[in-house]
Amino acid sequence: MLNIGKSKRSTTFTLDLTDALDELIDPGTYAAIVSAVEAIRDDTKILVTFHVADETGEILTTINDSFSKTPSGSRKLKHFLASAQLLPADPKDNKIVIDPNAWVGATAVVNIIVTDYTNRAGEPAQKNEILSYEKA
Amino acid sequence: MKKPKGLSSFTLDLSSDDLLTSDDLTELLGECPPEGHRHAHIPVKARMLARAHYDDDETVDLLMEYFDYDESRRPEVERDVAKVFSDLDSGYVENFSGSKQPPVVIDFDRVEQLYRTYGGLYELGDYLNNACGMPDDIMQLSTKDYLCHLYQPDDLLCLSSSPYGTYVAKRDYWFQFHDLCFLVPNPFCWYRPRSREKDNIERRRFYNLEFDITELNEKDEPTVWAPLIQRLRLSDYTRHTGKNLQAAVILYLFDQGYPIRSITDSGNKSLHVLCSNSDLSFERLFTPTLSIGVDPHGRCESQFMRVVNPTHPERPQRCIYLS
Repeated sequence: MLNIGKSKRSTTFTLDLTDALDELIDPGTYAAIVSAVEAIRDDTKILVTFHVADETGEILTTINDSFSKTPSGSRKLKHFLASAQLLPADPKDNKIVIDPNAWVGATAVVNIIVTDYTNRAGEPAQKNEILSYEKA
Repeated sequence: MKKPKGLSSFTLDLSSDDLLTSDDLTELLGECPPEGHRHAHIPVKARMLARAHYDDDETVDLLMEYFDYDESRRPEVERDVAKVFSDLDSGYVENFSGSKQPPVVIDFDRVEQLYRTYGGLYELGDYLNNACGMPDDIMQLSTKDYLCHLYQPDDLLCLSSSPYGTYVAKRDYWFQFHDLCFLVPNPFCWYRPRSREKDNIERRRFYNLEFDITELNEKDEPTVWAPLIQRLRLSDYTRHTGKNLQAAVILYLFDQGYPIRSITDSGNKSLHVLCSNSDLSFERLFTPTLSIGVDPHGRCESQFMRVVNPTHPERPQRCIYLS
């Protein structure tokens, strides 16, 4: 059982980590479990793959998001860490050491949207993206 | 779990939240578009700030600073930002990632003027031979020699015989193939099947200026350039093609000091100019070329360009310049 706190959808559920799916889901608030973390662009960006689950714990889809370690990207990173309950309660000198390897398995509450785009074949298509990380 | 290359611990300063400097803003949003094009970028930049967890009021303030607008422009920024946040609330958004660029306005008169000033293919060949010292046998440069000239053995490259290739491998892996047509000019961070993605690019080491200046498209239909090319052909009874105009623009780029590393003749209708981005001049130099016929798709770091391959069985692609 994983407790994700005061999600708009639910507070407690059981996760069923089945094979990752690549399905388009409705916009809304979901639980997102970190399934993989990798560094990109000379270690300045971190690519995170999430399993997105509904309130029953069923994995609905997978979705990628990236975090920048630069000052301009720190606000999003802090929201993610807070949502995934990865921020220490009493940070020393307001500074914390982040170990992205420890993120695997953590659960955040995410606001997911559907966005239109043009795929490589030049055809209109839709995909899910994470708009924001909500407080757990 | 295998620890990926480059993934390491780091320190996050929790107090730096609201201290976005001008440099931070540029890093987050990219180079500020030139004056006259800024308004069209408001929705795209607003979505990027929303995704970085800035609210609507903060987004307005940051865009005012980013675009260097005076206070008289604030109402229009507030209106556009409000529309973006309203769309985001609905959950369905067009072009959320901000990849859409404003439409390019082509300056046909400018291209004709460049042709009148610099000349066409003959003049370009003369310039490359005599001013740049290119030997005639440069056109026989092999794919292997071309890659060795521009890349290191450990560089991870994506080449393909089709425009849909996604495989990435170290430089020397590609020497075994003889039908390669396409190359992503920028090396990748890692390799695995289907890793030709913009986010996997190590950094923008090069950018490609590919010209859209042709009389007919792939379906043999007239393009927007057809009237100019046909008029030039009628005016002096010579065999004008889009390539003559492309050559004129390239001579202009040399004149302007563009960091040109190579030029490849696709073997069909276009010339591909590879530029070095060593001084990070991409935004400053790429955008002005759009109005004189350069394909906007070259903005994408993982976009294919034609690679040198003079022995391709169906479509030889020759190098005509290498620096």
